[in-house]
Amino acid sequence: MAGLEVDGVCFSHGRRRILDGISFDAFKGEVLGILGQNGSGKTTLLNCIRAEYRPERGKVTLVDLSQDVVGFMGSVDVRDLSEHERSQVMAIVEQNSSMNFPFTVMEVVRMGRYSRAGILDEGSEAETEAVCAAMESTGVLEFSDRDVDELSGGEWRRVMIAQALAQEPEILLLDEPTLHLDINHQFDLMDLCREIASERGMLVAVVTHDLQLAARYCDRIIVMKDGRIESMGAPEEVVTPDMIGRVFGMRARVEYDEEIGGLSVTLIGRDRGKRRSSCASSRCGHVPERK
Amino acid sequence: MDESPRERAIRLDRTRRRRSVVAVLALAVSLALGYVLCITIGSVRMPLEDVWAALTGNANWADEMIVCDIRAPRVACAALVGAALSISGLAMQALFRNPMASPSVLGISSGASFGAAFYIAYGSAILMSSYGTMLCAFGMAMATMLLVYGLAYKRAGGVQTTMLLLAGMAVSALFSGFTSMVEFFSDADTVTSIVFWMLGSFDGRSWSDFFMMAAPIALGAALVAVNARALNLMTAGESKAKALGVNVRRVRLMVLIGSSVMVATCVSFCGVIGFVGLIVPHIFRTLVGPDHKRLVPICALGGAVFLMLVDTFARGALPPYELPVGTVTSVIGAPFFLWILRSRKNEVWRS
Repeated sequence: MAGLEVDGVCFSHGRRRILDGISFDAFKGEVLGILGQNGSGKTTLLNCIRAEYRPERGKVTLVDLSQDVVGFMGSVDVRDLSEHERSQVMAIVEQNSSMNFPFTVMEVVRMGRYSRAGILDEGSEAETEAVCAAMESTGVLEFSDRDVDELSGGEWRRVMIAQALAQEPEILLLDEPTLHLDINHQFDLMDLCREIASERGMLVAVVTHDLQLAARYCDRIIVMKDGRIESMGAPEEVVTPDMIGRVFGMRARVEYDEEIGGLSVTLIGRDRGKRRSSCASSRCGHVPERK
Repeated sequence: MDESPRERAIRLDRTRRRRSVVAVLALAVSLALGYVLCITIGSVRMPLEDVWAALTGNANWADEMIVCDIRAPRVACAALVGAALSISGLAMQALFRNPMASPSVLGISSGASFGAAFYIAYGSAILMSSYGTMLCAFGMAMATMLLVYGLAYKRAGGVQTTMLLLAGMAVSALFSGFTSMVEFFSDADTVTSIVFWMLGSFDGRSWSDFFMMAAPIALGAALVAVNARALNLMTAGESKAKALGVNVRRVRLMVLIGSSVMVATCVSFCGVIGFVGLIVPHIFRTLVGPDHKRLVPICALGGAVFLMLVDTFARGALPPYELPVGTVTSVIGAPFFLWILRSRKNEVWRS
C-alpha cells in the first residue's frame, strides 16, 4: 500500500545530471527523511515529485489515495493531474518563499484553502475552523493578525507549514523545514510531523541535512549522493558511522539512547585523511557529468 | 471572560473584513455625491438645485443641455476610465509582483498612441470617420498585446512573466519611436493635434461614448474580478500559486486579456492618462490591506472618484482654460502619492 512511487527518475539542468535513476516507494503514514549534502539533488527530487519539473526519464506515480482524483485507475502520474487536483493531494513547504504584500498570517494560511473552498465559503464556520486548526497546530494562532512582513524567519516558516496543513493534503513535502528554527521549535515541528503522519495517515517527506533530527524522527531514511540513492532503510540500518563518513565526510558516533528511544548521533569532527578529495567535491555541489 | 487565542484571531480577521465593507460603502456614497458635485463645476457654475432640476427634467433647455448632454456623460466617462485604469494597474502589480507595474507596462498605451498618431497624420486619406482615431488606437492596442504576448511565448515553458515585462518595455519603446517619426514628418498643426490627443482628455465625451466604453470595460473588469482570489496567491510567486492549486496559465491569460482590453478602451477614447493605474492601487492597499477580493471593488470605486475629481479640477482650476487631465493626474497625483507613501510607517512593499 504505497502512497508514492518514484520510478527511475532522471533529471538534468543543461548538461549537468542532477538526478540519475532515483527509484523508491513511500508509504502513507510514514515520515520519510531525504538526507544528503548540498547539491546532492534533494530539492530537484522534490520538484520532480511535485511535477514542477518534468523528469527526462522515469515517472512519479500516486497510488491508492483516498481522494477521488485517482478515479478507478488506482494510480495516477503526478503530471496528469491538474494543479487543482494535485494541490488537494500534496502540499509543499519550500526552502525559500517570500510574500511581497503585507497579508496577515491568517490570510496567508487561508490561501491554503484555495482548492478546498469556493470564494463564497471562505467566511463560513467550517472554513474558519479549518484555518484556525492549521494555525494552532504550528503555533501561529497567537499572532494571526500580524503582517507577514513583520515575522522572523522561523515564524514565517511555521506560517508556511500551517498553510500547507490547511490544504489537507495526503502527502506533505517539506524542504529543509527546520532551517531558521529555534531548537525547541525544531523539535516541536518534528513532533508535529510524527503526529500528522500517524494520526492523519499522511505521508510526510522531509528533505534535510540535519542528521540528528532525521535519525531521531524519521521512520525511513533515503540518503542521496551525487544524484543517486546511496542507501535507504530504517534509521538503524542507514545512519551508521560508515555512511556519515562516506556521504558527509564526518566522523560520528551513533548509539541507541534509552532516554530518547531512538538513535543519538554525535558528530565528532571532520573526517580528514583518506576521503578528503571526495568530500571536497561534494561540498561544493559538484556533480559528475556522466557516469 | 478571557478570550481564547482562537476567538481573538477570528475577531481580528472579522474586523479587517468589516473595515473594507465600510470602505466600499463610503466610496460608493462619495462616488454618488461626487458625481453630482462635479457636474456643478465648469466654465458655467451651476448651483446644485439647477443641476437637480436638469437631471429630473425640470429646467430650461440650455441648462438641460449643459448638464445632461455635456457634463453628465463627461463626468461619467472620467469615473469609468478611472475605475478601469485602477483595476488594470492593480492586476498588473499583482501579476508581475512589482510595485512599479502599471497599465502601460505591456506597451499597450504606446501602441494605441501610435495608432492614433498615424490616423491623425495620414488616416483621413484612408478612412473618414469620427471614430477613426479610436478605431485605429484600439486596433493597435490589441495588436500590441498580441505582439508582446507572442514575443514572451516560448514553446518549452509557455509564457514567462519576466519576459512579458521586458518584451512590453521594448515594444513600448519601439512604438514611441514610431510615434516620434510620424510627428517628425508631419506639419505643425498635425503635431499639435497628436500631442493634444496623447495628453488625454474627456472633452466632448458623450453618452454614446460612455456606453461604447462600458461594454469592453465591464468585460475586462469581470475577467480580473473572477480571478481576484487567485491573484492573491499569485503574489506569493507562480510556483507557490501552482502548488496551492492555481491554474497559473489560465489566470495569467485571463487577467492579461482583461486588463489589456480595459486599457485599450480607455486610451482609444480618452488618450493616455498616466499615473492613475499606478497610484490608486497603492493608496488603497495601504488602507485596507492587500486582499484582491476587496481591492478590486475598492479600487474600482476609488479610481472612479479619484479621476472624476481630478478631471473636475482640470476643468475648473484655471477658467476659461481646460487643463489636459493627463497632466493634472501627474501634477496632483505624484505629490499626493509621495505623501501617502511617506506618512505610512509600514512598508507598503517588501522587496
